[in-house]
Amino acid sequence: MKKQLLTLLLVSAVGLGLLGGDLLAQPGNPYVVPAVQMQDGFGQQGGSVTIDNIDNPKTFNPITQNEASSSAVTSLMHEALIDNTGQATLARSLDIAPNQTTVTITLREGSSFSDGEPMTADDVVFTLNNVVFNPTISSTLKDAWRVSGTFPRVTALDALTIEIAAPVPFSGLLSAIASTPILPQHLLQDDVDSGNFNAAWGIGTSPDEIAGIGPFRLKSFVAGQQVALERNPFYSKVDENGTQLPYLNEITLPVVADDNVRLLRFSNGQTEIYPPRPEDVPLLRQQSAQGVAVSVQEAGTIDMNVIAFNQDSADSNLQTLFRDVRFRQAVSFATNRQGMISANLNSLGEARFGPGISPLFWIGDDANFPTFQFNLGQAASLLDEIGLATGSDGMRQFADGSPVEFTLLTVQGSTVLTNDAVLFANDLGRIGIQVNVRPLDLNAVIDQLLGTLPPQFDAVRITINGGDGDPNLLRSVFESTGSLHFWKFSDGFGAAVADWQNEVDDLLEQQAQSLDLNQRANLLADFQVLVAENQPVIFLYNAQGLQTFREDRVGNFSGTVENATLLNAEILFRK
Amino acid sequence: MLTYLLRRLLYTIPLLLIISMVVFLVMQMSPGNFCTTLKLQSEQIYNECVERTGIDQAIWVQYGKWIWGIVSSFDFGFSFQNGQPVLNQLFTSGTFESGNPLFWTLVLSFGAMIMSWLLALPLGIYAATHQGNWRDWLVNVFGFIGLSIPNFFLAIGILWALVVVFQVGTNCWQSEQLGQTVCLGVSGLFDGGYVTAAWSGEKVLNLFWHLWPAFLVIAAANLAAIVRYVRSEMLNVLSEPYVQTARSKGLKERVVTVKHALKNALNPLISMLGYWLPSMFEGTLVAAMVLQLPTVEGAYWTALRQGDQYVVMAGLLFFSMILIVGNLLSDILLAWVNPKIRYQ
Amino acid sequence: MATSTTNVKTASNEKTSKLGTRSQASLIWQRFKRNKAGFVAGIILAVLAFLVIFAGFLTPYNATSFHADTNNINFDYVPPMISWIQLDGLQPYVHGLQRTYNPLTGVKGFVENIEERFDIKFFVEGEPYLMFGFIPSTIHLFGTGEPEGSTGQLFLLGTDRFGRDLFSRILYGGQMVLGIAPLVVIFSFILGIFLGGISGFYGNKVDTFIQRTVEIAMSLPRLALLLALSAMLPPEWPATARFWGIVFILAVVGWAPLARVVRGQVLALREEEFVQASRALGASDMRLIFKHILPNTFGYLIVSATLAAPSVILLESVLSYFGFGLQEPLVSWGLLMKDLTENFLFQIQFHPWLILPGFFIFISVFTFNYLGDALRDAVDPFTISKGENS
Repeated sequence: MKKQLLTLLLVSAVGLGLLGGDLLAQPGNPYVVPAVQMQDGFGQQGGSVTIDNIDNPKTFNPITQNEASSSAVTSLMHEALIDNTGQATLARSLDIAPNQTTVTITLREGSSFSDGEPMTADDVVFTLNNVVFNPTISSTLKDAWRVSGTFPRVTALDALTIEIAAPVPFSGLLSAIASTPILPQHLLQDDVDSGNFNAAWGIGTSPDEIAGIGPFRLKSFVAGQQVALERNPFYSKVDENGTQLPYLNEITLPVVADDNVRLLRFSNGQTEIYPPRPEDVPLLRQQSAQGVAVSVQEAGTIDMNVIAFNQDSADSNLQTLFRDVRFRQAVSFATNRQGMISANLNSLGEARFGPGISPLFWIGDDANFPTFQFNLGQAASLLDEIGLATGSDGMRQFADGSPVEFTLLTVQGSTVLTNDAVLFANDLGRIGIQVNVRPLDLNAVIDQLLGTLPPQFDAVRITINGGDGDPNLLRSVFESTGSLHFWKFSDGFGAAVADWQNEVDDLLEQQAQSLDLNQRANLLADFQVLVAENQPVIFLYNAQGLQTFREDRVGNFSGTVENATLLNAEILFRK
Repeated sequence: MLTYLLRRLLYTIPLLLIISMVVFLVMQMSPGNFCTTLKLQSEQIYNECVERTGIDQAIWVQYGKWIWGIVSSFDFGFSFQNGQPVLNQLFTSGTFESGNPLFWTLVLSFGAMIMSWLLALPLGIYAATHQGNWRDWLVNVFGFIGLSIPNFFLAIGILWALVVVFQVGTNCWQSEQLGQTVCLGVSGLFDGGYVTAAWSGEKVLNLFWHLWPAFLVIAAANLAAIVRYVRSEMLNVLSEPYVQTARSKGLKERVVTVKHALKNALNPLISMLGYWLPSMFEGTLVAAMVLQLPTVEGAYWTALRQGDQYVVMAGLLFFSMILIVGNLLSDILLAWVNPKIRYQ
Repeated sequence: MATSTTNVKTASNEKTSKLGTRSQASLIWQRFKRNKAGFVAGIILAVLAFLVIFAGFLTPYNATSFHADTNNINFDYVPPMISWIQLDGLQPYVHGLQRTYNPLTGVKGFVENIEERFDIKFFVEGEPYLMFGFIPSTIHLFGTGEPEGSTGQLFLLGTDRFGRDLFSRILYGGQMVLGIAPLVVIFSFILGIFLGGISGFYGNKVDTFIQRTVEIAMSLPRLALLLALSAMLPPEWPATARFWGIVFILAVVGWAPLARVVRGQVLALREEEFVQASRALGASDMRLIFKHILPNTFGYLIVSATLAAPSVILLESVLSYFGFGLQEPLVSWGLLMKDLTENFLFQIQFHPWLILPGFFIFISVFTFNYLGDALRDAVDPFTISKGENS
């Protein structure tokens, strides 16, 4: 009798254990998000959040997508195995071998994709070897993984372990792993085999054909209206209370293209999160009495707002002038950065004199960093030193008598760029240089910068996207052979390369091969100082990162990037 | 009459062909192409885009392939933005619950037209019956104001008034259908979860709340014209002998005006229908853009800005066809109504 | 858009007879004067035109100069000072500018500094400009006469984000707008009259061909085509060339409806007796079209012109809203409106004077419409027009 009862108990216990596991649909070994990362504490499961997207997503493919409106959606559905600091999150552990070239990743037991299928080492190997490293598939991720002209060797050691071996020590390896979302082999193998991956997971795909390991999964997409995402029941993260993440049941991203309308909708209570423009801030501050929090965050040091001169100009006068570092320094002194910040950014910004780079390496605030405070007198004397005489009409002339005059391109339709250019032209006019501002269609501007060799422009006011600030991504801009080294492509052909440019090339090469953070920081400090001293382009300013959200409605808001891409959406909760 | 009709219809085909060629040429002459902005990301991505879209082929090759696709399998090409078939992108994307662009364009156009007439008829009649005094003048001014305000400004102004002045977002209620609280919002077609919900009375009401600013913006530009038209028609008819007769028979003033004059005023309305849809293109486009309405004009405009050429060409063919058919219809109706006007 | 009209012919449509009757033109003028609203509209437009032509003299500043104080900080977003003008006996004056700052919103502003007083002088020396585009001068109608950097400025309608005087920018912008509209109308008229005239007169194959071309031109949505075309303007062109490019494009896009109207007119007049008579006397076709028929359509043409102008003005503002119109450093009302519409909520609350250019657009469109209406009634009071003009 007792024996039977015991057996019954045992069987039911086992049975309940199995059933219970399915009911909870929780992976056996989730990542516990440290409580310190939740500034508003623990949340409850439930509720939804709405944030406006600037356009329809063009694809749900996280590898081939290259637009803010698409990444806003894919970043919620897909995730990498480690976070930005190199900490293993969805992976169980990350080990770096002593030789600094090999990294071993161990996955969590019981991890699955959002459709319930298990995630194994094969999926990771598939994602890297068959997709990211695939020569027929184009993606910005490739640049992050390329080391010494090739890709690391990726192998699965067993069902849960992956080994990634780079040929040489590669400082960008961790950040590459942190940027790569893991794809389900069972859903995409066929597309890769048939060469159709670039078109896979387009916007016409049904939600049950898409799966990822991110906090949310696609619920519905109505073109021109909205994207609706629902919680991923198989997400492998919990909070310290054991509550499975994400907290939110649903995230909705309506498509709203007009800037004014997005602000109106937020003011009207239709959205909970809104990345404001500088001019919106006074209004939002006024609304703060209603519980709207406007947090003006620390200035990001990533995107670079610059004015560049074509140092390969076909006009010999201009070419000589633009290549003269004293001219560029003079122009930098003649640039009223505070005026631009005041006029365009509602004073929410900071002047910049050097390149943008990740906060880990940024030294722009150092006391000894080169600066070019607005000083027309100093600018004028530098121009005198170069030998640009002032004519009777107050305008400067070259030695041959021709006026010092050039065209400054900006992007038509972008008032910020055009306004900066107008202000800049006005100030240069006061020291005798005639600048003709010409707004052009974006495509036309790109054509002039990158369409021909040598480029045809004189000068341009443009913003260089700094990505996430990892220095390795800036190499294409500052190295002689970089594909975006547009102000002096001739550097890549070795002709008349300045000494400091050669030094910059060396510094960038060295820091790429070093995994020692301190060593890298020193190298990059030298890099920044060199670039700031020589002003290859005139650095202007940085806009402060601005975030706004309904404090009375959401908690644990970590910010957005590129307009609608939510950071740490899994710990966001609805109050 | 029939031969005339056939001849005009036959003319449409070469007409559309020429239009598509002109448009294609214009697009090719614009600086850069759909993929140009990708150059800022990487050379390889740019090249992949060019290969995918086929824009590096000779102009006549691209055009020829496109025409061949239409003729052989009614395939209008694909959108560069997302790979969707053009017809889908422009007209049919969406579900039954959410509607599709073609549907919304029709709703918007006819809705605006109906609103214009609903507003203009009483105004025109009022002006005609008070001809000469200040009321008449006021109606005139009112109409002119409508067409003197730039439509994009009117659109944003209405939204601003609704949100900032009237604070419509504070009007909330519990929706039985959705099981959640819904508040009045602006822009788009629906609030909250109505986008994917089944059609119901609630949903239609919510839709109308979102559409009326659009109707107003589109109607405003043409209101003055219709009001004066109705007014002049009414004046015409009111001075006709049979109206005098009706009056002398002792029928009440209102019956006289409404019954007799209205019938005549409505007659040429039908002939104006032909001009209506295409003339509203600009208004519907601006309304779609500012108010975020998923219409054919909206999809067309997004494609135009990015250089998504097949979508643009198909869209233009669509609008041109509407205009041509509209012209044809109105010419026919005109001739049918007034036998004195005959075209060769 | 075609207008279908029922024409009632009267003797006044005939060419002038010099025996004691009034000419057609003076009859039109008489009827026009009787329409009070239209007459007033005409006066307003004339005043606008005057303001705009003499912009250089009438405005204290230029359209593009930034105004800053001695610390090189711009006088940005100064509110309209017109309400600040006070009278000391007969001498008008304003107080100086003083900066304010609202710590809650972070918005800067300006108030009067009653400690400083600046008299408003007339015929003052100021920034140099070119009267009518070629006569250099430095005399302005009014101003404070203070040097650059002084806090004694007279920004009648306030300033924009760079401290540029809005009143000056509006008047100079008007030169662009009120300059574009007539030019566009003229260009498109030349095209439309020529093609419409030939089409209506010769009929048959020529007519069909031209009419089909008209249909093609009218089938393309005007706005979309315009935007595509203006993106095409070569980047190397300087600002003034792009201006003419836009004018040309607007004209090309606008000629088609006019050709249709002219054709209709010519068709109707072609069979008239006076035409037959001239033909019998041996007049050539060209002579018939341009000397006999078309002059009789002038009334309608003038009406069409005044009704086409507002649509061009509105179109320019829409183009600028999309970013395709005139660009910096040129200035137009549409471009000025862009300052407001880009950050509508912010500007309308903190800098509402930025809406004034829109007011000018509104007034000019409004009065043009009234004028056209009155002219239409004056030209042919017997015709009740059934169609719409766009």
